[in-house]
Amino acid sequence: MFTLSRNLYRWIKRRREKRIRILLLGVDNAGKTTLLHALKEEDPELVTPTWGFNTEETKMREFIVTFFDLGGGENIRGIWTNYYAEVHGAIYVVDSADKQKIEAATSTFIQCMEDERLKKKPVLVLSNKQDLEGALDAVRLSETLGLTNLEDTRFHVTTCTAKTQIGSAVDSNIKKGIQWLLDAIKTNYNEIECKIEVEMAEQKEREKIEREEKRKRVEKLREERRRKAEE
Amino acid sequence: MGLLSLLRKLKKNDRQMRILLLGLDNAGKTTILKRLSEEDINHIMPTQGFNVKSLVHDGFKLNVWDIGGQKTIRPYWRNYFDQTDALIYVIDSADRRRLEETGMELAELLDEEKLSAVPLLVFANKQDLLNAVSAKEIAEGLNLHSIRDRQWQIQACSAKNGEGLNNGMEWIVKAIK
Ligand SMILES: Nc1nc2c(ncn2[C@@H]2O[C@H](COP(=O)(O)OP(=O)(O)OP(=O)(O)O)[C@@H](O)[C@H]2O)c(=O)[nH]1
Ligand SMILES: Nc1nc2c(ncn2[C@@H]2O[C@H](COP(=O)(O)OP(=O)(O)OP(=O)(O)O)[C@@H](O)[C@H]2O)c(=O)[nH]1
Ligand SMILES: [Mg+2]
Ligand SMILES: [Mg+2]
Repeated sequence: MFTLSRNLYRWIKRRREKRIRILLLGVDNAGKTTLLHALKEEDPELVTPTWGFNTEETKMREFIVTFFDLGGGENIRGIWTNYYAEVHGAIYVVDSADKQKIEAATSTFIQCMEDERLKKKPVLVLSNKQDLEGALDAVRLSETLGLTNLEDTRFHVTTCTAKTQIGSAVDSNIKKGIQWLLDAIKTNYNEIECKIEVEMAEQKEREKIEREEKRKRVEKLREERRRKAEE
Repeated sequence: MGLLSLLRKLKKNDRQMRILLLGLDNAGKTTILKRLSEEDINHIMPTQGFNVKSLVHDGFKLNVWDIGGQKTIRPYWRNYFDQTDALIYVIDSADRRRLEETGMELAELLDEEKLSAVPLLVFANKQDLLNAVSAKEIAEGLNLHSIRDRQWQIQACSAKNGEGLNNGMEWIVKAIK
């Protein structure tokens, strides 16, 4: 009985505070981890290149938001797809002052946005590092990324400077951008939730099969080793 | 810096960091620890119990526990889980055959309540060997992408020539700061 009422309480609570997940994407050096530190008001100097995964949970409006920050280096980007199914939206960060990397940033953007699991989910695009010379404005970056269809409400492009001095406030463009993202998620919440549920179930099923196959392979290997040791 | 992170920093500063160094036998844990404390890395024998060393990195005192990885010793790993600030898991990147086995050991560690939310650094060691598997393949082989409850980082390294070790330790210090 006690567990029942506790579960009920949890269920009600969960219905009230919506939990959402947002994925940070962008090639290496774009400023994803810096952005996460800015949102937490943490020291931007503590950032090193990510060869893995950081996560942060914060309350924003009626949401409990979990951010997933992934490594953007060429050799680690391959892990991104594993996170697409479960997120409600994404933030794509671009170092808009880096002429050499803009091509990679563009092709990577196009590739992720074509993935079925990210379709119909809102994406905030940040033209980052506006403090540097040659940084692209929102219109130029939209053109570069091929986001010229003004009807498309799935994307929102804005400029920002993620790296701030210790103690100073987060760039207001970032705040506004995230407000847009939360609004877009809110508007499409039910649809996105349904999509996540279906695609997560598929992913779990796939992972279960893989895990079972792996377990069998390891068993076999151990068995072989045991036999060899006995000989 | 926000007040919260400042408080966190102050709180942690007066504490020593406890770091666990785990991985299968022959992965190179002891060699890494000796290399980090600038000791001779020749004539290292398989560890029967454990070694512990205090390293100072970036003003932090890191107490690193290196525990033997042989199959018969692995059940004792759990005796060392209390109060862990970070977990370093070492892989022999040239041992392709045991990649999935080491992945299963790691998965069990990550399920341990006492290690929940503890940051994970994976040292993809022995990168100096020709047949070493890349860091990306190791991340996949170990299923690191299924982790959601903690931050993780994979660092290619070689205890033999020292490459990558400092980068990894720098990440650890930043992760627990
Ligand atoms: N000038 C300037 N530098 C920035 C800005 N944002 C980030 N940086 C710097 O860009 C570098 C890369 O930032 P990160 O946050 O590590 O980039 P990342 O996207 O997480 O990179 P990976 O983890 O490798 O994928 C760091 O040196 C940051 O200080 C910005 O707005 N302006
Ligand atoms: N080529 C190469 N060999 C290494 C490297 N690191 C360790 N080794 C060798 O790998 C073997 C095992 O190293 P150890 O440090 O004893 O491994 P361990 O993980 O402590 O093993 P256990 O104590 O049995 O758990 C030794 O022969 C080391 O010289 C490396 O980076 N490159
Ligand atoms: Mg990063
Ligand atoms: Mg040893």
